[in-house]
Parts: sequence; C-alpha cells; structure tokens
Amino acid sequence: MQPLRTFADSADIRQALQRVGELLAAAGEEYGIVIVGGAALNLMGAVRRATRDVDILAFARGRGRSARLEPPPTPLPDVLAAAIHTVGRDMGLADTWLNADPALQWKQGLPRGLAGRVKWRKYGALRVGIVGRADMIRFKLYAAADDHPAGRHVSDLVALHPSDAELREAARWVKRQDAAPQFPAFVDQVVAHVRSLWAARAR
Amino acid sequence: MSGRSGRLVLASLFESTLDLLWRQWRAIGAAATGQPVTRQVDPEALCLASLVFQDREPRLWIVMSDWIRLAAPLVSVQRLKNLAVQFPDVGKGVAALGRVAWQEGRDARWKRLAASPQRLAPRTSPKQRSAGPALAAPPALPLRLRAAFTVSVKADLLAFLLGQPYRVTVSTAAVSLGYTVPTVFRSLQDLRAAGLVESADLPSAAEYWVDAGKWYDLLGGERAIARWGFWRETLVYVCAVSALESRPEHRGASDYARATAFRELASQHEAGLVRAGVIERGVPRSPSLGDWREFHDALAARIAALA
Repeated sequence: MQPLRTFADSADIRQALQRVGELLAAAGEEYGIVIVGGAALNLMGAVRRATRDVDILAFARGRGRSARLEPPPTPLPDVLAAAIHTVGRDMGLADTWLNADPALQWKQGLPRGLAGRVKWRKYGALRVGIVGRADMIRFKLYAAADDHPAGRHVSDLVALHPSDAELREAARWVKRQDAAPQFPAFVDQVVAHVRSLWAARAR
Repeated sequence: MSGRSGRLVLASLFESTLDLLWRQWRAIGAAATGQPVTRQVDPEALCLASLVFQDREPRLWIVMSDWIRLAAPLVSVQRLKNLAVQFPDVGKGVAALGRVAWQEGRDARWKRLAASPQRLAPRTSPKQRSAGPALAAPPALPLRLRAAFTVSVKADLLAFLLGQPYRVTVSTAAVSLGYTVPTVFRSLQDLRAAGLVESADLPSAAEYWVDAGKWYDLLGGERAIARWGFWRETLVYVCAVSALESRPEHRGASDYARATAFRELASQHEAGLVRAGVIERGVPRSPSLGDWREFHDALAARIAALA
C-alpha cells in the first residue's frame, strides 16, 4: 500500500475539486461548500505550501450573494462522500481529504457578514466558496492562539500580510471564542508575535 | 470529450456483442444470418440481451419473436423471470415476448409474463421465417436436453456439465446457471443417485462432472457437445454498460467521470467476467478513459474469439 500523499500546490487542489465536481455532475447532483484553512489559502494564492486536506466550514444553499450558509451535514451526503472517496483513491489522498472538521465553529458562531465576503469558484457541479480575507485572518489568528508560536498557523497569518487594523478586528472576534481567562492574553501574544515577524521581514 | 470519441470507447464492444447475438440466434435455428457460434447458447440470457440491444438493432426483436412462436415450450419462463433482474429495463420487453409466446406460441406458461391480456398487434409479415429450434446443433444442447427431459434445472445442469472440461462445484454451477445453490445441490444429488452425474467429496467442496464418453453415442459423438459458453456473465456486463451509456448525464460527463463510472461497473462484474474467461487479470483500476477504451476493445476481441 502506497503512503498517502498531500496536496503539493493549488493546481493539485484544483484538480481534486474539479474531479469531485465532475463526478457530482455525472450523478446529477450539485453542491456548494465554503472552505477555510491551508487549502483555501493556497487557492487564494496567499501561500504556496503542501497541505493535507480541504476543510469545509459550511454548505451553501442558493448562489452568489444570496447564498445562505448552513452547517455541513453529518455525515456528508452519500453522493458527495462517494465522490470524495473515489477522487481520494485515484489521487492517493486520505479518505478525509475533504472534510467538515471546522464545522464545530458553528457552535461558537461565525463572523458576522461572512457569507457576503465569500469568493465563489466553480468546479463542475461543485461550487467552492473561499472565505474572505478578513475572515481568513480571524480563523488563522484563532488557530494560531491554540498552536505553537512557530506553527504553520502563525506563518499562514504572516503570509496574509494583515494590517494593524485587521489584526485588531480579528483579535476582538477571536477573544470572544474561548471563555478561558488566560485566552485573551494568548491572542495578544500571537498578535504581538505576528507584528514582530512582519516588522522583521519589512526590515 | 466529444460525443464521437465517447462512442468509440464502446463501439467495438457493442459491435462484437451484436455479432454474438446474431450468431447465437443463428445457432439455435432462428432466421438470422452469420456463422453460428460454437459454444452452448444460454437461451434466456440471449432473449434478455436481445431485448436490451433491440434499441440498437430493431431486427433482433423480429428474429426473436419469430423464433419464440415455435420454441416457446423450450424456454424457461421462471429462469427468464429470475435472470431479468440482471438485465436493465427489460420489463416491458419481457412482457411483450410473453404475449407473443402465449398468444402465438400457444404456450400458457408465458401468460404470467404477458402482464396484460392485451391482444397482439397483427404481425407485419405473417410469414414464419424460422423453422423452429435447431435441436441437433451442438450450441443448442440446452434446448435439446430440455426437449428430452422437460424444461428443468436438471436438464440445464446436464448441458452445463457436459460442456465443462473440468469438474465443478455446486456454487460454480449455481452462479453460472443463475439458479440457487440449494436447488442446484438437490438436483445434482438426484442426478448422481440416478447415475447420470459423478461426484467426488473433496475437503473443500464436493465436485461434480459427467462422463461425457457415455453420452457420445446418444447425442451423436463428441462434436455434438459444445462447450458451455458462460455468455450470461458477459452479456449482463455489456447490457449494463449499454444502459450506462444511454444515460444522458453519463454521455455528457467528463472523461474522468466516465472512466470512473466504467470502473465501478466493471468492478461489480469482475468475478463474472473472469469466470466467463473473457478477461484474465481483472478489470483496470485506471481513471483514464483511454485505458477503458483499450479494455473494451480487448473484451470485444475476446468475445469474438470465444464465440
């Protein structure tokens, strides 16, 4: 059995999503998903790094600006799950390469107005929405606060080139996500760390 | 992929299968042209595959309905009904065939398949083209033994065993003939008790065979006994492919989606195709449509070679 591979770059991710969309089209089904995380950053062009999976934050009903987001169903619909399995097998990816793990965020709530900031792309019968830049900064800051300072979430955050205002706004939202008393301090430390990295790069 | 290149993926397979159907009809006495096949014909599988392929070749219905008028008593209504679930969308065709066999073949067994008492439309040509089932032809051995012993599992088992170069297990016989294992087991026990079938109790499973030499004088020599064709397995797969190909969403799908649909279908039929001897190493795992074109071309060539 061959070891499971990761996505090398955004072209690799696009191919996988395109294949899922083609299988959905052949089955006469259509889905809209909103993604976050490393794959979304790759597709945005913000980073170019290997990533293991594509994280679904939401399912979409309707199209474009009128699209209404809702939590991904658990388990994923059969036709979509079968397409994910088929493409994963053909590309040597884990069965969970397209997963709804970030759906837990729905319990705490999504940033207000997120749906309107999603940028949509079409891969066959699969519409893929990438969360807007401001929301990506929020999610990455949240993940970085839970991660090691040298972890990939911090480097992803730096790669997004957040302005001071964006970091302030993101920190405000992130601090509301965790009730632990020490959590706001963690968030401030990450913000300070990102600013220092960004300043060092600028020099 | 353009529609034209899409069709090319299956062109040779459908052509080869149509040729096989014509040659099988010819071999059992229907008014069809071509060189008769050399292996035993499975009459019910032939009828069902012809119903599927009549959309591509309407003359198949003319030849089949003409033949069934004289041969209806030798076709197993129950087996046709059982096997029909393996062939796509044949319900109306089976009912239509049932009406012909019942009303014009004068065989009341077919009435239950006819679905409605609706009278048949007058025949376009009242002329009977076929002279009836060619019982003495080696590929028609199943029909010959049914004519001798009635339409039954036992007659089919004898034809099947006579057409085998090796001993077979109950499960192989059951899956090849489309009967249940208990039915085949009981019938083989009876045939063994009657001294018509030999058996050996091996640790894994009992194996059965007939001493073909004893049948040569009766049936007209070694050449009167054709090998079993295992055609049902092959025809069921080709008919499933034909049904898949007739779906607009499949025809309009991407190369990748088409290839994976072929792969999924072929994987479901892999065991049957290997048993039939039309493939040797299993079906491709590739998501490339080019590989599936090659596979179907090779399958077409194998069908032609085995016929």
